[in-house]
Amino acid sequence: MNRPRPNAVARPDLSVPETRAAFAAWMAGHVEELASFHNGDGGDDLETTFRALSHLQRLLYDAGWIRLGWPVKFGGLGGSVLLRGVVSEELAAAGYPPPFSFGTQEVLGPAVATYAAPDLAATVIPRLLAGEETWCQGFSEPEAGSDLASLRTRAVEDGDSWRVSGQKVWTSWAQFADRCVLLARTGTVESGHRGITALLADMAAPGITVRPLRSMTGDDEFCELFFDDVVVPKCRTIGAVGGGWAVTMAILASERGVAAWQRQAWLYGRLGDLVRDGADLEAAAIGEALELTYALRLLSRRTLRALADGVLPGPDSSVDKLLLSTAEQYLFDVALESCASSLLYDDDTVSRAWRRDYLYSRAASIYGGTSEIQKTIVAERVLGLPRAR
Amino acid sequence: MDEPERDLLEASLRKLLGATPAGELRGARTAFGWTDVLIEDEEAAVATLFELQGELLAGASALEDLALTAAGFPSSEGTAFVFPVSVVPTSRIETAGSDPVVLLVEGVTVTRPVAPERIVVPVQAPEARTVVIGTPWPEEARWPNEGGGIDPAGGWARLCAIVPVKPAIAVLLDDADAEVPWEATRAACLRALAHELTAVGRVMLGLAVDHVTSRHQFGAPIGTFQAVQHRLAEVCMWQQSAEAAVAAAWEHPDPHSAVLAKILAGRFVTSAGRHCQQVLGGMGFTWEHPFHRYLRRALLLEPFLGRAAELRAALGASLIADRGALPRLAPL
Repeated sequence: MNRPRPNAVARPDLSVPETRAAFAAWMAGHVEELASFHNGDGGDDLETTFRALSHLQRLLYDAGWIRLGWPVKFGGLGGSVLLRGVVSEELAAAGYPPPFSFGTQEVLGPAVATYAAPDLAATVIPRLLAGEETWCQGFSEPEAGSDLASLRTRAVEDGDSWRVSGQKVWTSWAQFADRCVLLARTGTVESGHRGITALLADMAAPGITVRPLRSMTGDDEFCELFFDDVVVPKCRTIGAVGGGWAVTMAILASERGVAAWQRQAWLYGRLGDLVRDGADLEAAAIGEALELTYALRLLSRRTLRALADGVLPGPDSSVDKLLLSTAEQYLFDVALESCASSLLYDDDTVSRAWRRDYLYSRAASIYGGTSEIQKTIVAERVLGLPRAR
Repeated sequence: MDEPERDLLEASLRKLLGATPAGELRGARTAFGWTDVLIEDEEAAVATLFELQGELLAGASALEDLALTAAGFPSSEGTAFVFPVSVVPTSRIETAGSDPVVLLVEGVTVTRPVAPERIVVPVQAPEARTVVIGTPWPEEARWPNEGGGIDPAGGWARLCAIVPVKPAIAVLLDDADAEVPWEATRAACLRALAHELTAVGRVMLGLAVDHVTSRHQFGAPIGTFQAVQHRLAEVCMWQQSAEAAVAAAWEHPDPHSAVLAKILAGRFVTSAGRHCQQVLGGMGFTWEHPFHRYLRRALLLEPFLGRAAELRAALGASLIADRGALPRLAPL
């Protein structure tokens, strides 16, 4: 059920600088309400973090900030997509973590808005933005990671429904998710990327088992998903049957492009923290970390601006992702050099945060498509080199 | 300047650079009215000219023109600018007691068949300031008359000299208002160099892409091999970063964005120099193949106003001095 929506204080008719100022003023006026989120992710364990960040999502939705840049039919207030970038950046600059669905709404939102049936999109996207439900992403499988098009989870037609069986892995936050954007094979085994269909499954449906998968950071953020004859109504098909690859490309491009903008805002904040916290700072390394974060900022800004002009990200977003992993891993390599003794040996909140972020940064060249996959895309589709296969 | 006007400017300057011998470029640019374009639309003038400089490997005097104009000196054959090859200029004025006053000049400069009448040089002043001074070049002193070193065609030469100057110049160093021209001149030169280096790198990458697309080994174009693809993809990442940074340096006149553009352009040409050379194989190592001329130009220009590594260190030091209060750059 949709909650009643309070009157938004955010206004979609303001310019980027006006929105920046208005949002900063709003945050300054709500310091007490926001205090529990400041400089942290709001909790020590996953469940508390999830509750806290979901609460932050609702708080910002109710004030209207999360509704900026989204069409009215999706529960938004309208206005330029750039306003979404302003809100995520200013939030990070003020020292607050991203609200729970900030990443999901940028990664999955545009593709669902484009490819799902209009009534489905108009039903589920407002709930995602409002923090009334959360989504996860069922893409990777044990032997279909980089080679995603070889995925084997099957969806078989059964009247008005699909019956889905198979296994997914590396599904973040699945244990808390209400829905899953799922890729399944509806064509023959040999059909490759042409035989894939995207579905929006209900996580409460019978036959879904979620098993948390502890990552090397010590968090259970990732999960394995098992589908055993799960019924998904056909009206939950996203895009055409057999057209899931186009949906996939749109989602991956958003993840590599716009989500990179959110990430750079966060990295920029962490660079500032490092200069304040670091014990043995090497000037050249700090300068280089700024250089890389700045380059990432410029490239993801380019992607965001294109999106604001109505252009979905293309292969250039693989450059953004490649640079994201380069910048993120470099920053935390410098953090390891500069705060080695606390990062390695201490257990206070600040030291644990550096340790977690250092370890998490090791995945930056793997998630969302490995750096090797991105380089191949850049070589073949940006530089136009002859295809290997 | 709108798009068609820029295209027209580009076409005219391309023709001019292609048809003019290196020694006559300054006069040709003056006759063309490039300085007027510079005053009318600095971004269009600098971006267009310096991208062409890099692409066509044109001679040195354009940067000198720009530096002199930015520092408020008339650009002419008789006035030479001395560019530091470090972040902080190493040229300095020494006063032994009250007199004599001498200028120790150190940097790179444009070669000339006839020595200039005057030099303009950024020099160290107290309290980490830099002041741009103009002073007569002694008639009897030698001036480099042709390019040498790694890229003789570039028309640059190193200058190390001790020149007597008027005591009044030394007074200028203590005048706190006198530093103004250097920051703006430096930023103008950094932006121009970033454009030129980016264009040099773009040609290197283009040569490499053409080569790996047309050459076959093991029965396939070498561009199909992942090892080759991934090297050039990395160069492409730095190309896009450099191009974005060069464009962003025109958005706001803050000093950081010009420095970052030069750093990222330096990273791009360094990456292109290494990886494009490798995938060009034996062909790229020949004198006949054009690659080495671009590599030489990149190596020559990259240290101007400070190598990327030195600029990063200076940038990092300023962030550390501000204790993490990072500048807000490139707003949405």
